[in-house]
Amino acid sequence: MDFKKMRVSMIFLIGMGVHSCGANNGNGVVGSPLTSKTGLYSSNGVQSNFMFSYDQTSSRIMKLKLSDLSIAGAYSVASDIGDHYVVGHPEGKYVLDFGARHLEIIKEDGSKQSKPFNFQGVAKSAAYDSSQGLLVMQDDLNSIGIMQIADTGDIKSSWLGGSLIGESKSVLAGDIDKSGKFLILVSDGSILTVDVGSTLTQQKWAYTSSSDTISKALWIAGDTSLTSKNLIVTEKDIYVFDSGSSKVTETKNLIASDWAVVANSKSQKPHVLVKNTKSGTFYLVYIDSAGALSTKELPPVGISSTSDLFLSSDLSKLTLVGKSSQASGLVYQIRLSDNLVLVNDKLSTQGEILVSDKLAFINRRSKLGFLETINFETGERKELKAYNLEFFRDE
Amino acid sequence: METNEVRSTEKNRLNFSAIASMAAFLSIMLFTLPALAGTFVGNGGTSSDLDMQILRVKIRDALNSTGENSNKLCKCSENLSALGVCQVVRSLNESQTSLCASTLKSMGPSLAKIIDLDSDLKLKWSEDVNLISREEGEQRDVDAVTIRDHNTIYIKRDHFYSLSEQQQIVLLTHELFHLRPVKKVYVSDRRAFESFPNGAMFLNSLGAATALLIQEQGVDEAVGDLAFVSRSSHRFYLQANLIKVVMHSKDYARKLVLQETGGEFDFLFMYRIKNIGLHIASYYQGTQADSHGVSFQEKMYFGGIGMSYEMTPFSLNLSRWNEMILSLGVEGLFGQTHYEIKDNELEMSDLGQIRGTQVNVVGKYPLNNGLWINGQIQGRQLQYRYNNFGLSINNTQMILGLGVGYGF
Repeated sequence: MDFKKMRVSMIFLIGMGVHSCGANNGNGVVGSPLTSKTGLYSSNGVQSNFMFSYDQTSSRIMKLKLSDLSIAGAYSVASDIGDHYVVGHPEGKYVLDFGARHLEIIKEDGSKQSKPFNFQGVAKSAAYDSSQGLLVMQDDLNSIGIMQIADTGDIKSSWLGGSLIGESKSVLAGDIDKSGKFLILVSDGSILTVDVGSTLTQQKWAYTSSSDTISKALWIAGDTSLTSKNLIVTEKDIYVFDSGSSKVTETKNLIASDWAVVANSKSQKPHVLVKNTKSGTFYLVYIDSAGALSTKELPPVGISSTSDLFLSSDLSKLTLVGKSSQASGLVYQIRLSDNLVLVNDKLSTQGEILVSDKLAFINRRSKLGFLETINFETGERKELKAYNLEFFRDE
Repeated sequence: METNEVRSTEKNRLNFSAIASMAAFLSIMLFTLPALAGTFVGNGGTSSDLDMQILRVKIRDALNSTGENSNKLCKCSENLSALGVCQVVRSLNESQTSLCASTLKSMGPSLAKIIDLDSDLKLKWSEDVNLISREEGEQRDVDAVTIRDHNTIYIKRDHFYSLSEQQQIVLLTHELFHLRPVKKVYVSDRRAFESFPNGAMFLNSLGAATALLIQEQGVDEAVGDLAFVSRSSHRFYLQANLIKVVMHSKDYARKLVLQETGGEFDFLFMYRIKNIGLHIASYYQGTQADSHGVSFQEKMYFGGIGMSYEMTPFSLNLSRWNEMILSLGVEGLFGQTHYEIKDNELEMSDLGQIRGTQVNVVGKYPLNNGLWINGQIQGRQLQYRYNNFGLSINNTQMILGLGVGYGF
């Protein structure tokens, strides 16, 4: 494989959310936690053809073509900033490389554009809407940066703000919903709809506040199929918030139901996995096709935690990667219409596993580079081995 | 004149009865000097084999002592009666014994100077051509000839080393006495001399008497120790070496991520035909490198068939360096190689078929009792392919090696 000769063509896997992979709840952040790779799907429900993944061994961002699990590109990045986190454009026009005080946009031709603002922390999360070219990032010092990015990868406008909005409102969580609105949950319980254009123009927060309030908010996710519907999790409740009307339309009290949140996920439909603290039964909470908050009891899969959750946009299947007291890397796929378990596999104890309704992607954490996909429907396995070999040769 | 210029020792004299009965030795000419000139090997045509040097020293010392041992000359004491040379002198009649003894006594010291290592005498090996003598109209193959005008003795090496030491002394002393007149006459092998029916018998009796004198006197300890030095004339040779690849193709290192070269072990068996060694060898070469927690390893197992030209480059007096061998060889190589890369999660490997060639320059320094120390430098070119990795390797190496050998 000659990476140097590869044409650069990037397609982001994520649209609105950065990549809602992982059941890391993403509580208390704007968007989703940044990780070293993008997901298997875009936020609007389309199966991704490409994944971007930072390879620590070679300090490169790899572009993987998922259909045949091949390397479609490799981009060298700075190696002295610690961890790298990536966000990629779904059409492959650029990729954003985040790290400690580090943001670099790598265009399709490999040219790099330096960060538009100087944040001082380590980038920890981002909300991204590729259709609008809107990206909101947050670092570990809770600085929030907003960027408007052209399809070419050029920054059209940007602004970096602190963690307080108004005089005393600190940001608790935020996301961009399907209608393109950037919503922020703040410490006084307000739900703010940010006017991104004005904010970028005025270089200060410009927003409107909803009449309804939600206290102690932890997490917000814009629904990927229902415009303006958002799922919100707080310490005690789960809400459906309509950004169009700026109203909370439904509430579910966790404590009254003896529920504890196990995980929440923005893949692919926003959903929350809860567990009855008395019976141990798992329930799935999500916004149904009518926009109502729905609850579904799950079969006894016997897991204690999850590392990735995926709810298909048609609400037909839930796929999860779980861990029990005896084993890890347990993958289940459940047909929600009748709770039939379609997949029950132990895929890997060491590697990182991402799932969609169609396939599992396994990063074996090999220094040489070892990736694998398993198609749930056909059982077909594809492997990409030793993709770093060329790096070792050229080092 | 061709006659009387060259004397010979006849071929196939493997025992002393044959020596004694040889009728005549002939005046000789080398059949075709130009052709012969190219056949002498080693040391620029001068035999400086350690065995020959030791022999010359022994003969020299014996001839120098003929005066002080005059009462022992051409006689065989009881303790030496088992020796073949003893039978030669015992077969002499009284006048023959007297002539033998007087000749040795009178000419010994002067001939000792001729056989001395620092003298102008040239002893040359004839490796693979027949020595032809022509005397009194007869022409025959011989095992040694003396060309008096050139102060040179030619000896067929193979034949010489097939003889016992005493037989070698007889042969060499015989030829030595062709170089000087006895009673003003150069002794002819075929003509009668004094009380001897032919000159060869006379000269052989002088040689036998010299051999007996050496047996009586013993040899100098330093010279005796040299007898144990490993000889370059062994037919068979085994060697084992530890080898280090000191240079290799950059392309090879890059493709296989093997920055450091590994060790190698080889084992070689050689059969010598004169200066040409035919050999088969077995090689193992292992190379391993670690980078970023990834292990890269290549193991090669291959064999070689080849030949080498061997020479003894040094010509020093009574030194084991005289036996040191310099060998220039070439080999065809074939075998198998295994490449493996491995980290905590992934292990990939492949086999390749090796084809290649190498040239060797080997220096072999003699120890004692057939043992040798080898130092070698090799240039090697290997070609193979790892299909699983899509790699075609063309690996050129320079290798240094050190090992031991045993000749027998």
